[in-house]
Amino acid sequence: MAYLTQPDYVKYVCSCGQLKPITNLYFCRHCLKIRCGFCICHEVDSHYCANCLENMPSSEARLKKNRCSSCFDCPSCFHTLSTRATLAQPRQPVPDAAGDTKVENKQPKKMYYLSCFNCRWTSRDVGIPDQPVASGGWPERTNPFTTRFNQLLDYYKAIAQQEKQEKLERERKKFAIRGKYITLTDKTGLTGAMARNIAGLPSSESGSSAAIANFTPSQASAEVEELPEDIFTKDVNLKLTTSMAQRLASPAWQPTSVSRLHPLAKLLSVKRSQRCRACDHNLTKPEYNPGSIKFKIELLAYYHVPEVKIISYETVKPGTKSALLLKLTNPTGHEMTLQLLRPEDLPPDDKEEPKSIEKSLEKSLNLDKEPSYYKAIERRPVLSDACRVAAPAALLTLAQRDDAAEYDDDAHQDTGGIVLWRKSNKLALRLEVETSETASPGSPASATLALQYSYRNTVPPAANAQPHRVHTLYAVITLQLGLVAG
Amino acid sequence: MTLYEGIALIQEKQAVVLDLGTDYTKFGFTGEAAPRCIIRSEFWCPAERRDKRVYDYHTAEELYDNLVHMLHLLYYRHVLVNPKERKVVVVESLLTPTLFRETLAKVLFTHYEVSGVVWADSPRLCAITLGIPIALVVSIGAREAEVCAVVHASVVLRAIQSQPLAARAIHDELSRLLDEDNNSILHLPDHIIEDIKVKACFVGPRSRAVEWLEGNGPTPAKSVQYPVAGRAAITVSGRTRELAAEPLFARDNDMASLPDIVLQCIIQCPIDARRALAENILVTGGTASMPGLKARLAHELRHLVTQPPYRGVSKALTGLSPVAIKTIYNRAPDYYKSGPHKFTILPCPYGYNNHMSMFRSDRLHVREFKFHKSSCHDNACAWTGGALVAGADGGARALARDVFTRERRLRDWPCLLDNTPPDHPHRLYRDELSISAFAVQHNMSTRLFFLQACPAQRIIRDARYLLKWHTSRPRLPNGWSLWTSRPLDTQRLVDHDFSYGYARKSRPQHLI
Repeated sequence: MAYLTQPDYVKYVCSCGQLKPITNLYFCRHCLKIRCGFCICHEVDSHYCANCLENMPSSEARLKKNRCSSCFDCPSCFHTLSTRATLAQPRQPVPDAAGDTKVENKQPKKMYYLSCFNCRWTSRDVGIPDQPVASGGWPERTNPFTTRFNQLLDYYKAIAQQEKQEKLERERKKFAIRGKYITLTDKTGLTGAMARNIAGLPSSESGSSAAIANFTPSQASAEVEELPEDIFTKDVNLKLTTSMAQRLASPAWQPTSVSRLHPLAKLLSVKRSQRCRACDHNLTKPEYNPGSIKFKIELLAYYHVPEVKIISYETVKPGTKSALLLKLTNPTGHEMTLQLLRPEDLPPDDKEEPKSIEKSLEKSLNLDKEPSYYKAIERRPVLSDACRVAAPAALLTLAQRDDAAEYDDDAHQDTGGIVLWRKSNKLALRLEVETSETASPGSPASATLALQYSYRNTVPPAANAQPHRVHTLYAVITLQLGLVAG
Repeated sequence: MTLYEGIALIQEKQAVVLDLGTDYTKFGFTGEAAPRCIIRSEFWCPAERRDKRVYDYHTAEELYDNLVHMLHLLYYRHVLVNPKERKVVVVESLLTPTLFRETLAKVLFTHYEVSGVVWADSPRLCAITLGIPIALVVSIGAREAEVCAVVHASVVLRAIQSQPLAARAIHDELSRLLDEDNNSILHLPDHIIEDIKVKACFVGPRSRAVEWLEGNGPTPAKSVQYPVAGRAAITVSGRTRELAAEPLFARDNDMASLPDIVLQCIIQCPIDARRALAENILVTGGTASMPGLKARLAHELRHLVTQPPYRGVSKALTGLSPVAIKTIYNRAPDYYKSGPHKFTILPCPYGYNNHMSMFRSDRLHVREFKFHKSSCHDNACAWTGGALVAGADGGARALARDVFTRERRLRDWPCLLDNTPPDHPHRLYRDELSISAFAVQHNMSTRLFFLQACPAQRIIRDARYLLKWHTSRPRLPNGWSLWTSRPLDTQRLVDHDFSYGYARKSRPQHLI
């Protein structure tokens, strides 16, 4: 089981070799393999704002630079800003030249400003005027370097264009067929030029060449910005200078003084769907609604692979046998037969699946998906063999998960054998851990264990395949049993 | 309407630009003036239950995992796009370790399945943000200060200078000075040191630095109390505030201070580019935005250029006949190891090919130093260049994924497969040349090693031969040079195809 705040005591070996707790693993129903976040493909599904839970279509998100238009973060402490309302003072009666007072705007008006409840920063601190509407309408800043950047971009675009044209021209010259007659129709581009000439249009190249001609390169100067004179005499106020985090929170402006801080539009979050790299099937797919935490597809290992929990264990000592109590749970809706194995007894991974002609054809067409590229990801798990769980040959059966049975109290006490007790889809085992003589005291005692379990495939079968095949699958598990005692 | 949607589908997805710095990572889209995010180059590692730095690795596999996690963070938390079928511009230093480059390529191409990667080196990208043909890029980052001369869209490789004079050096000095101020070993964590540096420290002008050095310091600036949670406030004296960045300018016999390496870079460049380089200096990198640093560098350069060995013929050589100088030249390595004039000779940080520098640099023909103001923030200069380059040509120079999967290697300038001139005799035998020799060079941990080219192993012999071929120009049959890839009068976009340059145009070297 995985815990939120404690280390993971029981880890499963993913098919890519990573060790992860079962809650972090996926199970691909199509490859029948355990997958983890490292060896699957993540995809951005939808954008939403985590504060106002507002969905944003991805095209709009791209336009708004992935920022929410109504929520803001504090530029000082990065907490979410709240909108506060105040009543604007009605304008003071001003005596007119004629002597009679004129009263305008008697009605107090509601005005809004942004305030941080964590550090008490407000948008008034930096002189942003209050807004008449509660959301939106906050003044936006433009990057001071944008103009120059766009000049440069136009310039380089023109150069790239020119290079491309020159290249084309060279090609054209290379392959120009010298016929007997001069044709004005094709290849030379002369017709186009002539047509432009007649119409009085500027020639086609002028666009790019004008951009090049009008460009002014940066001018170097002998003067460098010197330190301000008063830096040696002025007191330093640390609170007036921004920290690195505050500067980098707005990469375009990077204010150095606190008075230049500006509310940060909240960065959107994404819902991700996960896909198996080997078979391209979805492993998880979240619901579209940002408020929902449910999934349309969720092939989590927690629902498909038997779960192992440690009930208790004796302290592990080198060269001895110690007791270990485990609980196994069958999360599936089908009965499961289980057997404990030693990791080295696992059958070698059968890479070559019985493949049909269609499949191999598909593979040869799909050149991108080379098997070699999966190898970069694959790791050899580091399993220590100092401790090992003695694997009894007994075949265990686990009943299917039954929600009604949860209310039964009486555990079925099993006497004899390795089964301690049994209760609906759960099973407690009494096992022994053998520790080798060479295990050094003080080192972490991790025992490895392999599980062989039957799995009923519930994928709706193709037309010609036999329905509901039962597969024999394997999982390797490491158990953290504290430290080896001295 | 449907027509437009069809066009949008065909259109290339906007590429992303990745600048993985030692301390901070810059990430964003091409064609935009600023990166979308600048975050620390670290990620939460659940296995080790701590924030792990990307550059914290011992094996290639660990680095692979680090990069996967870091890119996951960047793509799905900050930029929010699918990495798949999207091009990436990688901004890298020319001295990036080969292991890092290749692992990053593997992660991008196989793990994230990007459609293409443009490998762009930071000095040229920095120069691009100025729009000028010749620039001397002084980039002061987290770990190292790098000085590169960019001449007509190619980097003068043999003049690259790199010294560990950057943020780390400042942090070490600052923590030492703070210990002095407070009379105790403080053991401040890095982020507090950085915060003190950012909020309180500055670089004083040269005149004041000289006064400090002579013992009777000038009136120090005001001291400040820096509050730290859970302990008494730390005193940061005016002296500390001013002198924290002094290690960058401290000169010793190695002549490896920041102004020194700038001058040495200029010296090792072709003589006809030197003046232009000195008049087009760009100081960038996160550390360059420290108040007063650029001004101080200007002071130091203007002072140093009037001092030996940058001005006047080396004392050792004055009065000798040309024949004598020639003799010395021929024996130079032994000579400067044991000779009485050891100190008067310009040191040659990269040994072998540079001992000639004393002959060619007896006078630095530079009178003026001019500086550029870049059109972006100092810490994102190279990034902005990347956004410009790929924005302009749509990433046309990218290494495509299918090419990478076929060839399984990256082009790289220290690799003989890529840097042998087209008419070099080795080019003919390229495929027959021992693969192991290439492998050795290709796996070198630091590119700098290639420049040193010191080891006498036979296996490196080819490399040394080539290096000579590149660097001692009078021997070259038809004027190959490493420093320019384009005719001097045209000004082009950087060619990212590793044309570090074999141009036919070169001037006679200023040699005796």
